[in-house]
Amino acid sequence: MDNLSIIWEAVFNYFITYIDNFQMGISYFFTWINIAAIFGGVGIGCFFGALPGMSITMAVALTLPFTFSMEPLTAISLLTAVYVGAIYGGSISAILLNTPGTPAASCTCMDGFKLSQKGQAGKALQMANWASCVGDLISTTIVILILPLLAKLALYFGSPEYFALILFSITVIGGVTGKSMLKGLISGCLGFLVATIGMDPFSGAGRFDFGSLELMKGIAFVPLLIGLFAIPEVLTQLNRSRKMKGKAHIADIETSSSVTDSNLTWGEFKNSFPHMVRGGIIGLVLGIIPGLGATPAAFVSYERAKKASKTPEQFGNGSLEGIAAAEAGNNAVNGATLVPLLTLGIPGDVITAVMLGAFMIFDLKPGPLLFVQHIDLVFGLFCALLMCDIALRIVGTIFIKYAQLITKVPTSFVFPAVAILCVYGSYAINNSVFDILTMFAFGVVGFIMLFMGMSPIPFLIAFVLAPMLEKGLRRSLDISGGDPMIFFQSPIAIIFFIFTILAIISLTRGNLKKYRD
Amino acid sequence: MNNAERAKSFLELIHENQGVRRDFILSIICLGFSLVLLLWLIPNYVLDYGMGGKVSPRFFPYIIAGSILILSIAFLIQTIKNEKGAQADARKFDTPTIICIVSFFAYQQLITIIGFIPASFLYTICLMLLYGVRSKMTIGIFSVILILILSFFFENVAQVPLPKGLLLEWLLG
Repeated sequence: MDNLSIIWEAVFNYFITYIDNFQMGISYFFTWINIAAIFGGVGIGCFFGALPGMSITMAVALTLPFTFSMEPLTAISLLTAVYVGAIYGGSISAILLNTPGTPAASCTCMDGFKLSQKGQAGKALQMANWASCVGDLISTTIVILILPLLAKLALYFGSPEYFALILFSITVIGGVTGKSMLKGLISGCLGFLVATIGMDPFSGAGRFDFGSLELMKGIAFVPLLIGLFAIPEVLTQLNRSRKMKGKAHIADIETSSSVTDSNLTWGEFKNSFPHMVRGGIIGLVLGIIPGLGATPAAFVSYERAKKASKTPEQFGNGSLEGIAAAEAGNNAVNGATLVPLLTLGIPGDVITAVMLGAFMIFDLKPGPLLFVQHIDLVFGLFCALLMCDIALRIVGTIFIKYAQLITKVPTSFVFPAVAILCVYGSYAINNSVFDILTMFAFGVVGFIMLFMGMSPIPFLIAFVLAPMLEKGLRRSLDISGGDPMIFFQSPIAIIFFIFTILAIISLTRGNLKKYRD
Repeated sequence: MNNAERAKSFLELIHENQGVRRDFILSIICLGFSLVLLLWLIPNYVLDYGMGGKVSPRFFPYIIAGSILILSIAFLIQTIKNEKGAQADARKFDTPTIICIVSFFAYQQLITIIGFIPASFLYTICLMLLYGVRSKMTIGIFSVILILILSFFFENVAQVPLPKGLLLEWLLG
């Protein structure tokens, strides 16, 4: 048999196994509860995403406590749907109010609000909806096709490789999140430190427990997550509502037009379609790299579309092509961020860190073994991702009609309800009142961090990655008898160390340039 | 500019610019915290039984504390060298914010005394008042509905037993 036929046979076998697994995933996923979770999740996501001040992380974090009693696939599908819905929801307030509901939607503001001022808000929202669906669908389809293959490559990752990869991830995440690289890295180190509270994973010795049994168990993920991301917003909105006279709404900017003009023509869709496809691929590539996420994907996609467009002068003045590119770019990240999470168990951004937390709640460990032990769950999740795109088109279209109403919700009702929900959610994970204390304590920590201009995102991701980093480091050193050269014997680890050094150089140069300017 | 002039201009910048002031305070806090970790917390509060030649449980915390020390020194130098100022975050530690923070911890204590549902009901009222809602009827109806829905979901659907509180336990003997 020649080499070509061996390759053909391998490809053929891969797809045969793939189709079998997909059928298994379909039969596992297609239940009324899962479909309802997807549609409901997209609706919740659209609602939260459209509210300025309610981040995507907060939407996913507040949904998490409701999933404890669900089946793992239903729970993870719901969280994924909230994520997908919230990214799209961010564009609603960007277009109607010139206030992006999420940072990723800030690029959409440029053209969306201009169209809104021209009385074409509905058209802009329709384009945002189509682009979100197409961008996400392209990225998700490619991810679904290559993910099982990538999971096989992940089997080559041992302790030194994991250590090098996590070091790279946290450097990029700390460096690109927030305004200062050093503050981001300090935030990450604090996250690592908090994760060491409790029993040492190797010897069982107590670390920073101060004699408390509760601290000996370690800091629970859900209270920390809710505290860091929801409580600071409750306090921030309290600051804001006290400044307002009368009833404070979630957005206090008047909308410039109604959303009745929603007739997107076939010609407009056709012109924007190549930008959606390009945006989908850009989002896929940037989404796979840990730390980059949806915002740079939207901006890169927008810039590429501007260069490729026949009417670049329209960009920034109400271009439908601009909205298509930005929205396709930021939504395409949704599926892509699952690549490092599902194959290596490494979250690429804060949302996938929450997802990792959800997996851990159900005693599931993302990584190559997930593709062996829970293949039905993996392929069920693929079906959920595809279903999210259908739900986004349907629920998103319904949302366009009611978009303006969301912005009129008074903060004095939303945020007390959010605070109470945080308490119920934190308690429910372990039935522990101590977790409520943890949640409030980290809420105050999160508020102080924001007050000091420090992002809590590297903190959370470092907290999630810390056990893996420590195990990778200590296990490698134990194997080598304390010789650090073990980290430089693996080509994969060396590649990630080089990437880390390059990232530090590039981020430092960027910071110095910003400082000089 | 000599060192004395540079120090004087930095002190003026700290006085005038809130962003630089906060950065300076943050770098000092982190620097101090890392030293406390290295010199007191890790040696006293991380147990080390002797791991028979294996890596000690103190190893990772020491690396983290050392990293915080290095990063906070770098951040301090960056802050001192900053001559143009920095933009401060708009958030404030005003009186309602401090009341809200204190009430978080009071609420947590109240849960163990009077129970989860009554404490949550009272806390919703407290938060709505802090947010400026004045209508007693609105506050009452909203609080009751919110707590009923959440309590019903968590107790009956998610099967999470909510604490009844020491007071009720004492009353029921």
